[in-house]
Amino acid sequence: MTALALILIVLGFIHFAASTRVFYKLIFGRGRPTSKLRNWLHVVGYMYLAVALLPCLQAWNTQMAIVIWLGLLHVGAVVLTLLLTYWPEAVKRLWQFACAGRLGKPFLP
Amino acid sequence: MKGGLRKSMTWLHTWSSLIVIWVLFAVFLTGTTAFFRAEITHWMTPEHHLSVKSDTPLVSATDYLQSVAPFAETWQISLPDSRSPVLGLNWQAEGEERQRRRGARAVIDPASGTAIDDARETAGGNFLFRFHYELYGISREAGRWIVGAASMLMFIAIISGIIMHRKIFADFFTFRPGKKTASWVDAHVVGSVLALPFHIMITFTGLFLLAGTLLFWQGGNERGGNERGGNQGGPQQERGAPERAPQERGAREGRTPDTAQEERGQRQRMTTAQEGDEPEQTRRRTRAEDNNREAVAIDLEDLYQQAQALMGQPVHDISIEKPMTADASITFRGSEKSSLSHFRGGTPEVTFNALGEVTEESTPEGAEGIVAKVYGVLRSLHEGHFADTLTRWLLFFSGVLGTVMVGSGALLWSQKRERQQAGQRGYELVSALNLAGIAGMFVALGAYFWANRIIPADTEGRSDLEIQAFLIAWLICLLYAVFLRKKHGWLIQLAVAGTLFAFLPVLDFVTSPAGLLDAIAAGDWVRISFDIVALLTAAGLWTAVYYLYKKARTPGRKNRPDKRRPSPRPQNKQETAS
Repeated sequence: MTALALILIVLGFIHFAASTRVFYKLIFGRGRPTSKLRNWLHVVGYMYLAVALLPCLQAWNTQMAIVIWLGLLHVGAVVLTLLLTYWPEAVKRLWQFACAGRLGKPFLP
Repeated sequence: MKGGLRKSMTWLHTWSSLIVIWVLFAVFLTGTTAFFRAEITHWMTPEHHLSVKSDTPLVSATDYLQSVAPFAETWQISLPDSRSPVLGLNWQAEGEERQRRRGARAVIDPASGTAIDDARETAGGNFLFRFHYELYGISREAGRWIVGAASMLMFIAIISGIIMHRKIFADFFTFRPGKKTASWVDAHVVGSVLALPFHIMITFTGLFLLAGTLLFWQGGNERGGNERGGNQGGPQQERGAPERAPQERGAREGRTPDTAQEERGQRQRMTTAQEGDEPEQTRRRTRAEDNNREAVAIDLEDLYQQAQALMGQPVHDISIEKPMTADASITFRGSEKSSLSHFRGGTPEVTFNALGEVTEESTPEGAEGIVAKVYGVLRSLHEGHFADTLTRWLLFFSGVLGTVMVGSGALLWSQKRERQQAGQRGYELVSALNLAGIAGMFVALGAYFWANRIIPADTEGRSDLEIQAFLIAWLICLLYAVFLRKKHGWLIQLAVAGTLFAFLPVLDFVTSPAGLLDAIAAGDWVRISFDIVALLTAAGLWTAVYYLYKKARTPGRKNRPDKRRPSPRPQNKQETAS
């Protein structure tokens, strides 16, 4: 359960990373994020984070679940930071195979 | 105006944190370790390492209790758990005054059922815990006041830091190693922004817990705000209860944190322990009729299984009133809290009578009253009272991020000013304190753990010696930093700290009666995790040493001052210049 939540959180944070100028380049090659794309990625990212709360709720009572979820947010953010620094290919892979945010991209101007 | 606001916030951020940053670093580092204080105490008591997990700890416990206190008023048994593998037993002989709940009168190896009574006296994790909110060697009020003021400034720094940080998302995940100041900025931002909820939580709750100290007109209440919500667990009322002898008490400290006990410094405890013997005897009542009570056999093991099934969680401790009699009542307490609003207690309980019938079953809903609730939530968040192993690690991880934040912030200050201000008094003061406050802190911590194993186990006043080792190591680092920091100060101190931490596991397995293989075989993960974290710390320290060494060796490029820390080369240059 913890691992699942952590994976979902990392995936969610990838959306946020993709919406920043620096990592947009890593994921989309070139250009910079439009504000519509950014909003879309943020919405999807937040949804991932929210969904990550569900496995926590499964395993613990509500109060503990929220505490653990918040703690995992910290871990996930640091994990992604290190991945982006030392192993960006892995993030690219994850983006291609596990991130729903990319599905919306073609429909945005 | 916008620029003006940001500029003033940057100023506020810099200076409000700089004046207390070394206190904050020490508080963060020791506070982070304090999440594992019971575990550290276990590591620091190698005599407990021999105890082995057992499927029937209850049998060992009751056998022992029957042999030492068959006619006791109450028995209390704390079962081994994920934080400590030994059995803690407490009993109240008839006529004896009620004992404090904390600490055990006897510590039992659950497998063999024998008492471990030669355990060394150690300051353990409790010293680190106490240090992080009241420092050491000064009066408790002064210590709390300093830490309280420091956390207030920290809170200011956090808020101003959020305001001055223009785009939080823009460089949320950015870390650029090997780029001098930019790397330090990134480390600082990663350490602070990514764990922002934790920092706000820990600073605010810390401030809240010390609030009583800062509100000087409140008066008399040592531990801030204790009276408001502190009525949940009840042990405060037992403040006057007699204390046990120090060795017995130290045995399992940290299991059930008890404010009243935390209040006392080590020395004070010694004195109260002597005074405490007196009321015990005067209050002794004669209860002859109870002496010939009939012994009734109760199948505790069966009740234990029932209780576990009823509560749906492992039993944490058991207390038995009038054990082995017909009117016995046996209460099993669970290990998981139902609500965060209890900082103590708050676990479900099941009580059986001697016939094995359930007489009472309670699942606490939460603290009563909004003030108590708020206090309970804030306090259990800060102290991790609710925490199982996972949350404890999450808190520890966030604490490490906080330590990174404070440390990188301190170094960032001198990094940014190195070129303009090197040689000036203020700059030199800050860089000396940085060295002693950051690298020196690690040396001191390493020395503390080493002292635990090197000082002979039966020395008088052992725990004070351990603490002295910590302080002396720190003092040496400080003196070194003041007078010799330009001679590879960072390199040497970090290398010393790295060596101390790297060999901690070796020391552990050499000096502990149970070796490495025994620990793995016994599944003593508390101890193994400690050694792994020590190795990770050592790895981190040695990475820093490696970079410093590489920098120191790289010749030329005079316009590029040292990336990480003031290395001897550029500073020597300034010396000759001035």
